[in-house]
Amino acid sequence: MDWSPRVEALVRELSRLPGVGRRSAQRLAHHLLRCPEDQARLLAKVIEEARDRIRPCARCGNYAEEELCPLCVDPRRDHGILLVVEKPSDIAAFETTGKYRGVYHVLGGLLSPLDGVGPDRLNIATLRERLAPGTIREIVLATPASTEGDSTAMYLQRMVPADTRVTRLARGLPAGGELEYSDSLTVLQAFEGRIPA
Amino acid sequence: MRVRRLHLTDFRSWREVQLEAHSGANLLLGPNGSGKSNLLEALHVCALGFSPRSRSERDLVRWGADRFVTRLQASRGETPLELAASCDLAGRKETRVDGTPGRLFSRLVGHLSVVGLYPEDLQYVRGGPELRRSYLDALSCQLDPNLVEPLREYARVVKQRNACLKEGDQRDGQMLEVLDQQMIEKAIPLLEARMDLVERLVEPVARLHGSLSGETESVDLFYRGSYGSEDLPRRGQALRDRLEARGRALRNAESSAQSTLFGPHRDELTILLAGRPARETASQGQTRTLAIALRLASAELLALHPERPPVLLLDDVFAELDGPRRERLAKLLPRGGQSFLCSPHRADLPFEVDRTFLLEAGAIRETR
Repeated sequence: MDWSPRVEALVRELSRLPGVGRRSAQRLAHHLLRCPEDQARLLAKVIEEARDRIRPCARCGNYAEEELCPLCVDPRRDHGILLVVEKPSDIAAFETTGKYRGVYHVLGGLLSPLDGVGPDRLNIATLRERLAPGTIREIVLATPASTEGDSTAMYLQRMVPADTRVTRLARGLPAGGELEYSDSLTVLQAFEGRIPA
Repeated sequence: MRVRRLHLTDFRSWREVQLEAHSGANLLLGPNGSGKSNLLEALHVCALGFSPRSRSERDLVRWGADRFVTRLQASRGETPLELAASCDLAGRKETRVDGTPGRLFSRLVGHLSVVGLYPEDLQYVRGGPELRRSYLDALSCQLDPNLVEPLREYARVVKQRNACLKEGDQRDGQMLEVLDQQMIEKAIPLLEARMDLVERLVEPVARLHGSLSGETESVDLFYRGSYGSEDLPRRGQALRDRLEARGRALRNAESSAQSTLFGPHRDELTILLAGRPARETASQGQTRTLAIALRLASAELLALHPERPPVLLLDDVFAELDGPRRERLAKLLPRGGQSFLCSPHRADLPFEVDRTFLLEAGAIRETR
């Protein structure tokens, strides 16, 4: 169907968003054109402001409006424990638990020579600085359980000073996971990583 | 374990077809090009997650269609089992194991044991080492589906390592060291599984080849690693030390080749016939009987699992054999299990079948 070129442009740009296909992009475009005008303008404005104002935190790489993000300046957090993640959205996963009180470091990707991503393409130089001896008690390597997640963790492990404890996330059964419906690799990892009762 | 029903949509030459199988010997009878082998291939894809003939699942889509679906209903004792696979021209895949959806074809393996004897099997004896490696790995995965994921991961790490070697910069060499460590860790369980499997295959392959060919030359299998000297340690730390030493020794060669020169993906399964490599010296007839012996040995190992006597797929194998060998093969085939045979002529078959399907004009007709 031939839309006016502006509608078409809107659909095209929306369909570039992750998880949005052509069909959903059309639905979103129709919605944006028919909803109250303020609402659509507000969306445009917050996108623009977010892009203008948000930059990587100079310390950890998380989203920040100032030089440092709210987590890095929070004195109530434990700055002696550092959790390393691939991307800012991973931080949300730990924050919603409400249990983790340390700070973070966002790599901005995973090491993958196949995709041309070497150490200098990631936020690793600042991590090295943060790991100066005597500053961090524990570093948690929370990269995903994939081959690239593993190689990245192994690479980082090599630069951790001897007096810092290094841990990785456990692998195994999801909460509420039924044993009989789990794939055998997951069960095996859960067994191998079993903990004292 | 038996196949009850196979349903295909837009798979190879078939638009839509369904086959209700007998629990014994099923004969698919039809002229060349009537789609007999395609039915066996569809069964193979459902049970093992890959085609014995084609590397790309997209090739299985019927000409003019945009996606194939193959669905198999089977039973393990009283329990029903349903396996389904589909792929479209863009390569998007879907699988179902008892209704649970997923993407990877490799998750299909391990539910239904299948052993196929195909005309292309000659290549396992005569072709390049990669074919014998894939023979070992496919059988390992059927015997232990826990190896499917480690195999995929190993292949991925080798790709990463090759890319790292190509980049050539490696400012501090740390990335390459990490990938060395990771590759060796992933390689060890694969090597252990392959060496165990070869050891278990030696006796049945030699025995079956002897019974089938009526010849007395010795047959031996030998796992030849890409790690320097011949005696490869079988397990754990010694194996790890050997791999690490090999990695150090090959460092410069790998930098100039820009590729990983050791590891399971470079190893070879050597088949020796009368002490000499069969790949170079076996005659046409010996090549054929060796290939059949490899497959029948697979069936023997799979049959050791009580719940999983394998379903046999015999793609026109009798036609290629002379009279005596045909009789001997018929005697060697495991009894009591389910089989699917295809042939252009009933006369080629040295035994009775339980159900015959006539394939003609894109349809299947059951005859008695």
